[in-house]
Amino acid sequence: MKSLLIIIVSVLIISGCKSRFDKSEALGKRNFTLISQDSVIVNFPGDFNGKPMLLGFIFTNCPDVCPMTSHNFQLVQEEAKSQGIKNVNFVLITFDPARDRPWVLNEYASVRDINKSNFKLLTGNQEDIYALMKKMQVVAVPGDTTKTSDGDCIYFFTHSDRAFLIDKENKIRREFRGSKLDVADVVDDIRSLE
Amino acid sequence: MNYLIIILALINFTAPQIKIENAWLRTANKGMNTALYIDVNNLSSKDDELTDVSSNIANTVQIHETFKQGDNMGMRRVKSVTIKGNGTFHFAPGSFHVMVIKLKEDLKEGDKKQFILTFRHAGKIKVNAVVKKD
Repeated sequence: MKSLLIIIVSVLIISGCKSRFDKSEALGKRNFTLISQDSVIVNFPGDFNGKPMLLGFIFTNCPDVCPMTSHNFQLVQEEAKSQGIKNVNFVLITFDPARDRPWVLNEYASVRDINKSNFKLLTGNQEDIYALMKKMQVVAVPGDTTKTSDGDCIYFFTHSDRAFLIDKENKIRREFRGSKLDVADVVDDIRSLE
Repeated sequence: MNYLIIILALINFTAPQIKIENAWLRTANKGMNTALYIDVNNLSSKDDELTDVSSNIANTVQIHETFKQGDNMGMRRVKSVTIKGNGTFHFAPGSFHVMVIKLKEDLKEGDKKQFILTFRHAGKIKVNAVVKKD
């Protein structure tokens, strides 16, 4: 009976100490050379070492899902700021580098009033972007195509809806659906990694 | 008595059959795309069908739906949407939406833009949608 009690107490202690995070997966040593909305070269993830980061993937021609992700990131940023959390970065990387050049990302940020102080939108050459997507297991395949009234062909992607919380040592600690994430929950996560 | 029947019939004929509520669209830049979201209330007992949406703020306007395929999200065009009699159809983020393609102007929070919805039975209905950051 005494042994059983010890086992039960041990299990309770261990489960009580369990981390709130379900992952601890290193991003690896490779740095990807990307470029920000302000045309500044960025080494990803090296330049973001030392602070937790909320990372997502979008394309700016997306009318529905990607703007939801972008807006959720803004809401997390605003809530984190209101709670006094300063040491955090927000990064959205395009999976459509052919169209999403830096100035396009900059206009995307401007029309949405994105606070760029700790929020970067990144693009790069296709080879680097695709290698990074492969590493993060993010998929984007050209799908729905629309011919506009002036004859242009506009393509959209069928794509992953994944966002990642990365700690200050560049380890992936949690994944979310970018368009559906729970703002309060993510802010709590960030605080615990700050 | 006959007059009463005619008057009642006229009232029924002229009463709006479709009511649009909560019309909004997202901020976006000139040349880019955005989405219009609306709640379509069918006040008649008869099914109706939204067959077209137009607006002079964009090059092309179409009805689309967002779908989930495994872990991925995609979009596809739909030709029309049926609004059940006495029912409401929600065009909402991550679901059915009106695609507004190649905007002719920047859309900023608070702007109001007009769309014309064409229904098979109710005909054309104008709606003013407010621009939001959501």
